Amino acid sequence: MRMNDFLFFPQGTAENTAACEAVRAEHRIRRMPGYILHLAAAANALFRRTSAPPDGFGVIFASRFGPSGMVTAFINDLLEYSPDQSGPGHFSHAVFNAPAACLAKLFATHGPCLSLQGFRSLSESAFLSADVWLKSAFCDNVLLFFSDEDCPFTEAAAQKVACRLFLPTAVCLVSRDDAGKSPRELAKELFHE
Amino acid sequence: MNPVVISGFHGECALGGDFREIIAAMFSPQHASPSMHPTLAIPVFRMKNDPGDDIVSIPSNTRTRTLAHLSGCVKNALLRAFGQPDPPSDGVRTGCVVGTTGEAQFCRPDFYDALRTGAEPPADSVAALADFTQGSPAEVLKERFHLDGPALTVSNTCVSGADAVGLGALWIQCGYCSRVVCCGIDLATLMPLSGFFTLGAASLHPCRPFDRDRDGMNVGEGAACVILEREDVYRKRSGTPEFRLRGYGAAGDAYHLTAPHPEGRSLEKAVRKALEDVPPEQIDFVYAHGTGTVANDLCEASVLARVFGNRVRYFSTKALTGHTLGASGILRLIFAMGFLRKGSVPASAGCVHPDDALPAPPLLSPSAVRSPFALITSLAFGGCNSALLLERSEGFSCE
Repeated sequence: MRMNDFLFFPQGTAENTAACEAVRAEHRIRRMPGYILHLAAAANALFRRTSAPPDGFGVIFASRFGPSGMVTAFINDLLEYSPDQSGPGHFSHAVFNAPAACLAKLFATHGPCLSLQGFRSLSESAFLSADVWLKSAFCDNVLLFFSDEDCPFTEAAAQKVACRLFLPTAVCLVSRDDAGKSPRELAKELFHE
Repeated sequence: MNPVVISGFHGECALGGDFREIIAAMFSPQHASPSMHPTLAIPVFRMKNDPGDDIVSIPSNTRTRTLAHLSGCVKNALLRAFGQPDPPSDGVRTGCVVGTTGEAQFCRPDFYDALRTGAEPPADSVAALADFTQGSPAEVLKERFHLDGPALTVSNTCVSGADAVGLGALWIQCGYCSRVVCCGIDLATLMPLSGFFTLGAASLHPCRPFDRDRDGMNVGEGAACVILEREDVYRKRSGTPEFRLRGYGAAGDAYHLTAPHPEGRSLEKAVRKALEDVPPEQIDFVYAHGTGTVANDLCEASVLARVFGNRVRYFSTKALTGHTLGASGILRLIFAMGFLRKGSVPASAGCVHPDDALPAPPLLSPSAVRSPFALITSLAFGGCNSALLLERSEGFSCE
């Protein structure tokens, strides 16, 4: 497997927040949560450095906790209101694969889309999933996101228990290269996992 | 895709946990009836042998129950494959993939409540968080069963189970391991029930997939496991395998967060990918996702008619089990093995008057199996689509 490029993209910096707003304006987004704008902005930054998004790439979103801000919003709905009054938009954006699905839509890619969760060697497993897609001709390129949402929940989680978050977000584009690096080597290179 | 042997399997749902009983129930007019949710007034198909109590209040901790069901499924599948409830000590590198929606997220309400008010989270909620971060379901199973290959938890909403099986097969094909324990699980909790209700996707009645009067889906509980093996590894200890996974396809709609693409263009792509090595005319039946929502069923039936023609034989059984979300694809793979073994497929449950808008109606009565191939389709939130192709070997008699 060949890593064409990767970058780390922190949440909340002035420059990156402006990049999120640019995504919002470009796609005329009204409801999509800020976290998904952040992921899209990270991908845009990567594509600016390499080339235009390739056709039909696959998307993999790997995370410890997923879209935590929307999970918090949906649980708050359930805590405050009766279950027939929760916010459907909170629900649909809180499901674990919402970020990957929204990114696929924003980039109009019809490749496979996968969301992965875990705490041990998740990055290696994500690269491994990309590798088997590439080798099995599901797509020619895979865009991987390793990310957790920087929000009160993840801040509290990191304070209360020893867990390593994907902060800042990492995004990378990989393609097939049988003489390239293994998933384990790539995971070690990026995350020392 | 190179064929991969399915050597063991086990599934549990509202119809129970006994394979023969579940298959028999799908041909019987007397089957499981759902519970009614006390405040939402929607049907919920809970596990027959272990109905959960998390449907009324926000679940405090579903991890224990989830892992108990997963472990039980793995043990039973291993028992079927190897005659023992543990993986054999034969040096075969074994991976683990689990597909789930609910178990991928930490949903302890008292932790979130404390966050909201600025209070200190209760100690047991912090303990639950610590437990959650010890490992995803696949990572816990890997440790519990001493597996030495990769472990991965897929959370691709309702295609999670199908993708768990498909990825497991690709791992074997690409040489990352020679055996994979693939699981799918979801339990009914207040979160999906409330979410589907307020989205308008939940029916107030037992669901009626493909019927003209269908008005939504029912949530169900399910857990399942299949053991995949490289064929030469399987043949070292056994003869001809009865079941093989012959194809897997996956593609994304890039269309809408909750609705399928109206023409199902990426479902079609996933189906055709799964059929790379077997032409459509050889497929006997399609075990459809068939949730009972207006959009899903129309999209799915349209794609099936495009790929297989208007004489396509397809059906749904979600009126008997509910939609088991992350377990659905893998459970239906297991049930499809039962139909191929029985030599008969059931009528599409809940469909009395097929929707005239469908290009072809689903099966309205039980029907004999005529070829050894079955396709299992899955669709999900986010426009994820997957298809699995199952084959039963010749030379095995029908039951």
